Amino acid sequence: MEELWIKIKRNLARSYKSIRFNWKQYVSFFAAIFLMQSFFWLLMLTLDAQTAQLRKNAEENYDYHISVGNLTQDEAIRLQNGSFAVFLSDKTYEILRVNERQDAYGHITYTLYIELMGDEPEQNLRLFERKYLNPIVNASARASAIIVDYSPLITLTEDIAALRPTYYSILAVFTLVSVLVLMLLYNIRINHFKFMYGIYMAFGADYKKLLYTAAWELITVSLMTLAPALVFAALIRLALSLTLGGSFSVSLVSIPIVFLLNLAVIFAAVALPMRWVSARRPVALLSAEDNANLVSSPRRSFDLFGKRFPRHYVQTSIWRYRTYYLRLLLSSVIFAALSISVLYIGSMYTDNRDAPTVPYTITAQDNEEGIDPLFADAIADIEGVERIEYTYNLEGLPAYSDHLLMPSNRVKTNAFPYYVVSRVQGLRAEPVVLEGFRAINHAAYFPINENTIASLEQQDAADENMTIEGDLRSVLTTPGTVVVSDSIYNSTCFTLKPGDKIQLAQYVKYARAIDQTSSEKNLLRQQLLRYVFDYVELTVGAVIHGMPTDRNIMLGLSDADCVSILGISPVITELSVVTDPALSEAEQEALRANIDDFMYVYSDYVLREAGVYEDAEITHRMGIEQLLTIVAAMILIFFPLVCFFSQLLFYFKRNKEFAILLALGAVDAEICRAHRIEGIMLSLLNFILTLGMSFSLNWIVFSAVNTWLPSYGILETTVRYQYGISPLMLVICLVISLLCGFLSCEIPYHQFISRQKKLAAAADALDDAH
Amino acid sequence: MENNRIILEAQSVIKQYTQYDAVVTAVNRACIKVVEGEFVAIIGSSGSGKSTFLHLCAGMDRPNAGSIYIRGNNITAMPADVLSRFRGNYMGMIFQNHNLIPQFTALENILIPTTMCNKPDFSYEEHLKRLIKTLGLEDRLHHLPSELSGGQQQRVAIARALINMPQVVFADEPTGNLDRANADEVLELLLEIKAQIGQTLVMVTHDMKIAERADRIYRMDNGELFPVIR
Repeated sequence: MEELWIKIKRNLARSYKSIRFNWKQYVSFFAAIFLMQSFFWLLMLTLDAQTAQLRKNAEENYDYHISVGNLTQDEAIRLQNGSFAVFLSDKTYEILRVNERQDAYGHITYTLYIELMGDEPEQNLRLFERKYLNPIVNASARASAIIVDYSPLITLTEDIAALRPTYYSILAVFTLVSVLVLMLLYNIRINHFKFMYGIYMAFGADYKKLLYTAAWELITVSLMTLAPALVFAALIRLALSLTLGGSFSVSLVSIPIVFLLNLAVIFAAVALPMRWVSARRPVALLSAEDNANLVSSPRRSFDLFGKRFPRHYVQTSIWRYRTYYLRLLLSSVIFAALSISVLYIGSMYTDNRDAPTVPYTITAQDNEEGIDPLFADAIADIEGVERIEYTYNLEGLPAYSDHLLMPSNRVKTNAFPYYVVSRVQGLRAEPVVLEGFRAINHAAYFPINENTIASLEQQDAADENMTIEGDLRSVLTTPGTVVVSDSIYNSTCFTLKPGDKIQLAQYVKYARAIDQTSSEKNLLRQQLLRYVFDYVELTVGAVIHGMPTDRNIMLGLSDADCVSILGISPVITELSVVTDPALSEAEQEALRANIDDFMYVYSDYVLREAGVYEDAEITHRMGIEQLLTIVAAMILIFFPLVCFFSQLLFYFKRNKEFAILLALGAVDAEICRAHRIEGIMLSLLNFILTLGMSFSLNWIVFSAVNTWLPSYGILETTVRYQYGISPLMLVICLVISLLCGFLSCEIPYHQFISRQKKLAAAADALDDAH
Repeated sequence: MENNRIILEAQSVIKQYTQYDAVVTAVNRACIKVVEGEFVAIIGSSGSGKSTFLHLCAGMDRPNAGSIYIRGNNITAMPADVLSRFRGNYMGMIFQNHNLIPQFTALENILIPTTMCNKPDFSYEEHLKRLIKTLGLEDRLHHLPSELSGGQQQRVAIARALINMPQVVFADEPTGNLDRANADEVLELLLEIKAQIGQTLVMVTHDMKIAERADRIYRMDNGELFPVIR
């Protein structure tokens, strides 16, 4: 152990010495590692803060572990009796209080608030459920009406554990970005200091030696920046907590996590570049003392006859250094694009947060008639309720028995993963021919009536992405007319117009059983080949564009068509009460009291609370949006960092070239112009690439969040996001890209001139001495 | 020697450097007169100041004291830009380590002085062909310096120094990095072109065999320049 410590000390001392003597070479690494560590700290501190906030919220707002509601008097008494025990140690739970509620018909129901005994109530939970709660629920005639809610006091461990995957995924992304940044910087360093590595290798350095030398240097840098980065991140977190009222906490566990991540990033970042270096012959590295190793082989010469200096000279130089410039541009501009994308993710987060929420759902228990539409209307009229979303008994229809035939000219190519072509061959003697149509399964039916029309119109008014083309009411007046959505997984797949004809398949019988485990296209293919269908022609009365959609195509039919085509009379089974997420606490309470008033009359309906307001408040206090803005700004810093680090080294080596040009007859003004032309060209290239890359990266993020991830079941979203780019951020990035391009050529020129002037001044000083 | 035939004249040239706290005198009151078409060799041990003196004569560096005249023009008094153009038009420089620009091919490297001095094509096209042929670079013109051997790189450097048909060529140990055979070949080429064009050649070398081919030899010793009597 002592030996290891001595070894570590020796390596650190050696690296520190090297860094101190060549500190200019390490400035970029200091900045990059500082930013990287700040990222890690910020993330860990936010996780700590959110954990503390959840704990605080649970401890301050709840005194019970479980609430059991909607109980009859007998059930309440049974549960109350269960809490009695002769010895305190035998007590599993205690009833803290009982709420009594009487409906309009004089029926009384009870809600019991229960505290589980013991230091670790989670252990008593299973016993309570098995021994006391489940027997009551199972014996109840209205079992599904009993509402069991677990308070955050009992779900705290799970809630905290549920946070970790999100944070660790972000941490993993940050780690990858950090590896990328350090690898880029190290590659730049290697490219410019090949000669030095050639000397190392000439004198016996192998891969291990090169790797450890590089890693120890960066570890030394990281040790020097670890504490300042923590202070920086803590200040940001503290400022956010003070502004938004959230908790602030630093957990000791974060320190080793950040340090280990740091080490992992450093080793991952230098391992590959050093492997590449060690695989080269030392002579090849030694010959790269100038920028020769960065030149792309030309195969032929440019026509320099009679060409004016420096424009043509610069153009040919840039072309010959094209690989270098391309790598430089890609590796610097990516950070502008990443920065814009982080902000875009921030805006998606805001859209998601600001989307109307569903804090309450009301279900009709043991009632075949479902929820009374009059009740739904009354709830919809309560102040603060944006709209009501209806769930009908049609949503449970089996998806494997039917499908839709869409006109092939109305099906876009991006629907390819979901449709089957017009001719299907397989088990049948004759192929199934659906000439002019594409077969698509997964339709979700919903009835069109005044309630659903009102809900759709309210949604249309509130959602700027959504438009309704055609007349929704035509479905009510013309039999066989339907309303369809045009998207699958938030991606527009159809170009349907009102008046188009589609075919709805109705299952008749099966020729052969299908594999029930198959899904998607495979399932559809089997259906077409093994089942027999009748087709009903439907006319599109209205098309809903831009509606948030999952895998299902929404198909709205009139109540009469539901009965005649689907054979089911639509009944409302559930109401989702959509409210404005910006309601104040008083407004939330008033809204809840209003709903309770209606529930007083409709006592056979069950109201469930999702606790979205509380979650929203906790998330708001974390300042995720502000945090993402800070992260975007920090990522943007990498742009000039990479650009200047590379360019200063590149031009430093080109000093000799400009000195040769001066020796061959060029004048200062021309050298200056050469730098400026190069700067302008680099600026323009930066500008174009920043623009292109930002839009491309945002499109990837947009498609991933909107379509790809939901289609693989990785992400669930009820919001259909808009593709776009923050204009302010775009302007900032473009200005930075222009400045970086220009200044990264202009500054080296001034360095060159100042070096020349210093030499001249030294000569003048000696002149004066004579 | 008639005054109007003197192409290079250095008068009491002094060049000093500061190294840490010490002042090193690289060139100490050096004087030289070189006549048009002459081949002058400057010999001396390493660190004697011969390369520094050559750089001063070529206007690549400025002396602390003394004056240098090229074709009667005092280059030590010229502003930097004027000196640069003057150097491009009237002087050629060959470096020991070639100093070719890595991103340019042999041909492009050769043509750099013409573009620096905005020479029209017709003024050097014939000359370029002759140089390429004489130096045997026909099949190496489109190669990068890194793709050329040391001898070939030096030949490109010679072509670059001569493309503007300068009146005086300064060569700083042009054969220093070459083996005997290549060194002889390069020297022969240099002298052949000199004979064709009639340029003045001032060469720094530590190779006595090469120096003996010069019209006159100077020895640099601790910054002081002495003529060698043969």
